[in-house]
Amino acid sequence: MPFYFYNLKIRQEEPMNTQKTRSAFTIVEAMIAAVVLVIAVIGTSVYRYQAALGARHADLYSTGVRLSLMLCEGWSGEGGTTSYDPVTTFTPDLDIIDTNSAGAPTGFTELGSYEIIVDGFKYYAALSWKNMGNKITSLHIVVSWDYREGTNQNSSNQSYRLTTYVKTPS
Amino acid sequence: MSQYKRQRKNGFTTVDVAIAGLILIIAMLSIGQILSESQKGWNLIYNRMYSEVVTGGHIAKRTFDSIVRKSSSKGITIDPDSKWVEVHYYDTDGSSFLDRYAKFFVSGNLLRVERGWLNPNDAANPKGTIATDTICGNVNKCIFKQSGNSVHMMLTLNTGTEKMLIGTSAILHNN
Repeated sequence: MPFYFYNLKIRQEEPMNTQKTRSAFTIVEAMIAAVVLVIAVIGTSVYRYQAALGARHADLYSTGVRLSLMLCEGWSGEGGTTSYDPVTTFTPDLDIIDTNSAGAPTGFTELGSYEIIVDGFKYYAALSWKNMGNKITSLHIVVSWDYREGTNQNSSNQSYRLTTYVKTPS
Repeated sequence: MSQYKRQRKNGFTTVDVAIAGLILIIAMLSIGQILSESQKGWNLIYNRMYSEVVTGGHIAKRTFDSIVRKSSSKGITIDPDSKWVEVHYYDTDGSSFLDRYAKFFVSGNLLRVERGWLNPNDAANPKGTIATDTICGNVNKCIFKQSGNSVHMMLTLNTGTEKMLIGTSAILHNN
């Protein structure tokens, strides 16, 4: 306890003219100490919360990137065919279903939009393609997600885009 | 009045101290609870990032991708039940034929890769094992499939408290 009892600090045998009183903490000092302690605790909590949140976001981002790569490699492996269907390819090993159209970048033709659930978290994938001439096809994959777990791809606030090129066999 | 000068008591009474102590205990318990919950949350997130499941999953993906990407589409065999895949590749740029193989399979709850040499010109001794390495543990399920020139691996790792699905595809080269 940081408090002193003054009367207990007075030694009886000391003569009056040599008496000393020890200074104790005032209530204001105690309050200031408490406020400093609270600020330190809150600061630590905020730091940990932000670190944990950042780690969670990084985890989701990594998974989103992995999904993009998986779709990209899967589609490329099939020669960039416009009949590629990731639902058929990955079901039942991956929780993937067709979903509403998410559109395609200018000049690209949409192949399909898909909802993918990985470890309980929802991602949206939009695949599109563009014929570049000389038997080269550009494949465009966008995987998006929402850190707040949005209900559709339009509310997603994070995305990862990949574009690759494949040469159609002669 | 004695020889000692009477001093006015200006310290805390026992009641003051008791109340202050009670308030302090309540405050400390509250702060302790917050710190405890914060620590639990921290551990949960830390494990999500650095647990054996996460690191094992990343290693499995990297290993699978690096081997399959250098393998040839002319030398791949997949188990009909999707439980293993064997790919063939060139050991060096000077290799004139596919002289190495790697076989991914699950043994118990371990994902393993067996590496070895191939010698199709020696009918009596066409294949030999160099080493079998463990890639990761805690394997709950692992499926290998081929789609065109891509090989897919769907790996589920589970420790009981942590679960993670690693899906990856890698393209075989056509040479």
